[in-house]
Amino acid sequence: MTPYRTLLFALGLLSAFPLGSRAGDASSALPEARVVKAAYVYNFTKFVDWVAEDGVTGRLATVTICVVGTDPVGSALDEITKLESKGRPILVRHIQDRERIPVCHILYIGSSEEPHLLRILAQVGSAGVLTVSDIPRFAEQGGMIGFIPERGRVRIEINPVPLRRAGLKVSSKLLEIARIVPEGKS
Amino acid sequence: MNAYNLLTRQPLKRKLMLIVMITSTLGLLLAGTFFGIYERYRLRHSLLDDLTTLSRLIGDRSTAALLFDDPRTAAENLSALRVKPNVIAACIYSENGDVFATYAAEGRTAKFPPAAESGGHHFDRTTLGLFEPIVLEGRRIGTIHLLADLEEVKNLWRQYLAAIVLFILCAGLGAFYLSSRLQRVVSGPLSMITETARLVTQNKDYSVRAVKTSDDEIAVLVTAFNGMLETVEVQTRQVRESEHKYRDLVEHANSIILRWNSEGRITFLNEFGQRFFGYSAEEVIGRHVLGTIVPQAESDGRDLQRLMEQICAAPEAFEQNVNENMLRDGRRVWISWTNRIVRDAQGQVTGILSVGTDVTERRQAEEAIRVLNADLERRVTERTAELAARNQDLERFNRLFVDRELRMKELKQQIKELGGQEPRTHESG
Repeated sequence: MTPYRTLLFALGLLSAFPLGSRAGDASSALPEARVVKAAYVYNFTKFVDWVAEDGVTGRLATVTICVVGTDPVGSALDEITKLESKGRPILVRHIQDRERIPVCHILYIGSSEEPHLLRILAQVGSAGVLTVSDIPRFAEQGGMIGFIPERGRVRIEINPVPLRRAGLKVSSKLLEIARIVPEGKS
Repeated sequence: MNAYNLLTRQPLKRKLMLIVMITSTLGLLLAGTFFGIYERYRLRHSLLDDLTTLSRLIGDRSTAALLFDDPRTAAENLSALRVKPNVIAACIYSENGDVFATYAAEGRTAKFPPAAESGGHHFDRTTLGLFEPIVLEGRRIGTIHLLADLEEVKNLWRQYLAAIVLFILCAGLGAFYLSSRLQRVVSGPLSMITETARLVTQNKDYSVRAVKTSDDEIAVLVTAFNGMLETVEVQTRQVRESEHKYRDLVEHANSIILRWNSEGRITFLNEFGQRFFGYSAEEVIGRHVLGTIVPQAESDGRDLQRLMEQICAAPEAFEQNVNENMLRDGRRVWISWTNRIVRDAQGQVTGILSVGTDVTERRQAEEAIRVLNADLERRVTERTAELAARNQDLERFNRLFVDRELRMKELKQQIKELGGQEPRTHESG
């Protein structure tokens, strides 16, 4: 697939997916959801500003998405490597060793890593890495952006506290459409 | 053509004003029309610009809503259009053209057209439809559509038109007032010349002068006009002087100067003539020569009416003419006339100028001489006859003597023959 067609595939489903889910076609809805979520991860790169983009090799030239653990979304992320964000290519790296996570733009934590979640989050800390996960109540547990289902659509949940700590700037547009985790709840 | 004729027939004052008014009204109307059309364009396009900006703003605001499938937020963004009452309806289409979020003004139901392929706008009779793509990082992720009512724009335009009409009226009145005042700059000096010209023609007074009040072509005209008046004045004076001189000459000449037209009516008789004939000018001018100064016939019977007709018919033949005339009191006088034909510029005979000298006394003297001569001749004849008779007597007497002598001689001869002796005669010496 060419990057353009992939794009169409991934983003065209954004609007197709709710219709499909409303039609109750569960068998096709499940594989669609992971693609939607993967596309969301890609879209985050457009609404988040990484301020401290210096000193880290490769950060200026590419947008790096690290994937730790495994789940459907994590594998669907490979699709977006052919896209660009703000004119920069996107690099997806699957990290095997959860103890040695490199500095990336986005760290996607697969559902398989749910037991080690707090450790991983602590490790990334304030390094300016946007943490995203499909793990339920991820944002409330100290993650930055999580997915929540709402009336057949995929919504996102944002926890502003770790974002602020990491020095990441999230566009108000993203905050507008997201559910914000109240402070003190994390 | 008709209007042009109408214009040329107006007095200068009105002509100037009409020209100014026609020009300025036309200019105002053209400008008004232009501004009216331009304002309509401008109002519509400022609405379009407004709506374009607004739709871009809302579209930009809604990128995340589109990307993260949040029609509620998109609808919230659209509802900001409440501040623009002329927006009837609006909607956002997703990338594949489905309606994603909608907005309708209060009391309005909206029907949404399919999303346009590209951006663009369309002015309807009452509405403006606008499509604006929603672009994020160079990629079109949706389309926003706005439908606006043109009523407000129309009202604004109507107000503007009313203002323009009002302005044109005011400007027209201003132009009328100004032109009625400013036209005097042109028509004032001209009407002054006209007034001067009128005075000159009316009173034949060439001493008046036009006053120069400007410094343009009219001033040149005034100068030229005054120069002409000057010339006319001088020439008139000269003509009057020479006329006076000749009139004096004519009036006081010791000759009758008579002018009469080809009908035989007197047109002029100088003072000497009036005194001579015993008529005043009023009495004789316009009357026929016959019955006034010319009798029907001369004392010796010559028909003067015929003569007058002949003179009138062919004046050239009567350059010199002596005939009997008549004074007012009926006395007959003899006058020697010199007749000259007077022609006008076209050569038509307009009258006869006759200069007459009273020759009555001369004629009487001539008559007397004639009578005297005749008497003398008669007397000479008488005396001659007398002399002839005396001569005859003498001759007869002579002859008697001669006869006697001859007889004597014969006798003597006879005697001598008879006696040889010559007898002594008594009459030897």
